[in-house]
Parts: sequence; structure tokens; C-alpha cells
Amino acid sequence: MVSEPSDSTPQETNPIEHLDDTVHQRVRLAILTIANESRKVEFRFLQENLGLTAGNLSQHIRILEEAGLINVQKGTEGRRPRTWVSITKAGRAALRREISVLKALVSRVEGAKGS
Amino acid sequence: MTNGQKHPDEDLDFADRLRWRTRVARDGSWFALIVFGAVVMLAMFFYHYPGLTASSLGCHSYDHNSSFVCRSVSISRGVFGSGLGSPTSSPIDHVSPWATTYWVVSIFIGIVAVVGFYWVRARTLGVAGRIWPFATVGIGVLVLAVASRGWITFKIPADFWIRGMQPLLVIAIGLLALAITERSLAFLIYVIGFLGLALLSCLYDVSNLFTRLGIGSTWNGNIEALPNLILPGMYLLVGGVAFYVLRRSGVTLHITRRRVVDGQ
Repeated sequence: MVSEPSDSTPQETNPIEHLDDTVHQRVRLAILTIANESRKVEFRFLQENLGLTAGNLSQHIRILEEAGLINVQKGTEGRRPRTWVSITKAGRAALRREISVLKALVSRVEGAKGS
Repeated sequence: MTNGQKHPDEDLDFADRLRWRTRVARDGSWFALIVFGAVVMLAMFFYHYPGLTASSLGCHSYDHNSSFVCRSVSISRGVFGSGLGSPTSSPIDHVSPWATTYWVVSIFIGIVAVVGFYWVRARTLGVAGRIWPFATVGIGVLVLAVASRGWITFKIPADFWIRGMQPLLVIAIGLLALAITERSLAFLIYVIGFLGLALLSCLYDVSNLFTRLGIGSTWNGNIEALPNLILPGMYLLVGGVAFYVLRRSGVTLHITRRRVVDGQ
């Protein structure tokens, strides 16, 4: 599920409370990051770059698709099946939130080290 | 790759690395520089036009002191007429009347070639960049330039268009759109440099600069306009080769290595 916290990172609460499990999971964070850098990306490209099995990657893609963070388009080229993944508006927003929470966590840890 | 959770700093570094790898994979900016560099260099064939001299137009002086007398002439201005490249005023210059047609056709083909290149690469590599903003801006500016060429020559001082180098600005604006969609700082800076050279070519006889620097022999007569094309054309070609080599060697050229992720 995608929670809908505000884009700004709350200063009063612990940022870790605002991490979204759907996005924070490393493989899914990777899929969203790559999809955000392109108009669309093929399943094979994700698989090669993330070093995952097809089954494992499919599972993460399904979770992101069900959460409305990516669109999946299946087709064929010649006799070869091709699956293209593109990020949705909600996916971009979720990625942006995740990154800002991670940055807040980093600065909190660094702040704690410094004091 | 594991599914385990890491320190947030590692997650951010991981995201940065993926961003960088994806950008490098889909990047085709070097190809655009080479295509438009070739377009500019090939334009030289239309800028040392030997046919339009006073005598070829039927102009002659009856004695040494009198001015030229010309019979009425009709000169073809190509499919797209004049104004973008080919000057609209005196035909007695070194620019082919087909220059405007050349620029319109070659810039359009260049845009199609770049879009095609991105399309093929997307199919081959499995990652597609956003190329339509470049195509839309490029064709839009080209159409605008053709449509407004009469207005430009009427309203804008002749210093701007007399050399027939406005098509370089059309190319520069198209490449700027590509640099923005590619989110590449290095490419953007390089294209801004090209924009500067395009303006220089519009406003200044680059042959003066070449002569002062001792490049070539004398740039006058029907080759006077060529340095205005050689300088920006070579800039694009050299840049295209450099970007290709750097990309192959994995040198970072994008704004990905600093922590600006923010989902942008």
C-alpha cells in the first residue's frame, strides 16, 4: 500500500516512521529509480542491471503495479515477448518522498554523530 | 543484489549509481552533435556559390566609371523560397538560392535521424529516453523560423540575417531542448557554447578571426562565408566524438554524482 504523507519531511517525528515499505524495499527502490530516469524500461534491462531472476523481479514489479506506482505494458516484437515498465505520477511522488526521508535519516544520523 | 535493508546512506548511493548507469545507457547526445555537425558542414556547398556573379546575372559596366547595369533576372529560390539561409535582397552574393531549402530539409532529416537513433537504441538496450520534447521543439522552431523569415528580414536589423546563418540558431534551440530532457549538465554547457558560436556566426564575419589566427590562407571572395560554418560545424563534430569517447570510457558527464536525487 502507498501511504500519502506530505512531500516535506517532518522535523518533529522520527523520519523512519515515514518510510513506505512498498518503496523502501531495495529492489523496488531500484526499479522506481531506473524507471524514473527513462520514459520506459524493459524487463530485461532491469533484470540485467539488478542481477535478479525473472521470477523475483516479476514479483516486485507486480507489487509496484498493484500499488499504482508503475505501469506494465506487455507485447511482442517478432516472436519475442517484451515487457515495458514505466513510472506513474504516483510512483514519481513516492520515490521523491522516499529519497527525502532517506536524506532526513542520513542528516539525523550525522547530526547525532556530531553532537 | 540482496533484498536486505541497508543504511540510508547506502540506499542513496545505490540510487545514485542506478540513476547514473541508466542515464549513460540511454544517452545519445553524442549522435545528435555528430548529425548536426555534418548538417552544418555540408551547408558549405551552398555558401560558396559560384554562379551568381554580376556578369552571370547579365550585369556589366559600359565604361570604367559607370555603375553596373543589370537586366531583369529571375532566380529560383528553391522549394522553400528565401530568407532562412538564402538572403532575400540582392542575389549577387555567394549563397545559393537553394540554401533555405537545404537547411529546412537537412534539419528535418537530422531530427528524424536522431529520433530514429533513440528509438533503435531503446529497442536494442531496453531503456527508452524522452526524445519527443526534442523533436517537438526542433520541428516547432524550424517551422516558426520558416514562417517568420519574411518578418525577420523586415523587422530585424540586417546585421542579424545578412549572413544567412539563422539556421544555426534553430539547431542550437533544438539541441538545448535535448540537453534539458537528457538532464545532462555537461551537454547543456556544451550546447550553450554552440549557441554562442551560432550567434557569433550570425553577427560577425568569422573569416576575420580565421585570418587573424592564421587559419587557412585568405578567406575572401566566394569562400568568405565558409568560416561562419566551419567553426560551429567543427565544434559540433568534435563535441560529438568527445562525448562518444567519454561515454565509452565511462567518464561521468551527468549531474548524478552529487546527492540531488529528490526523485528528479
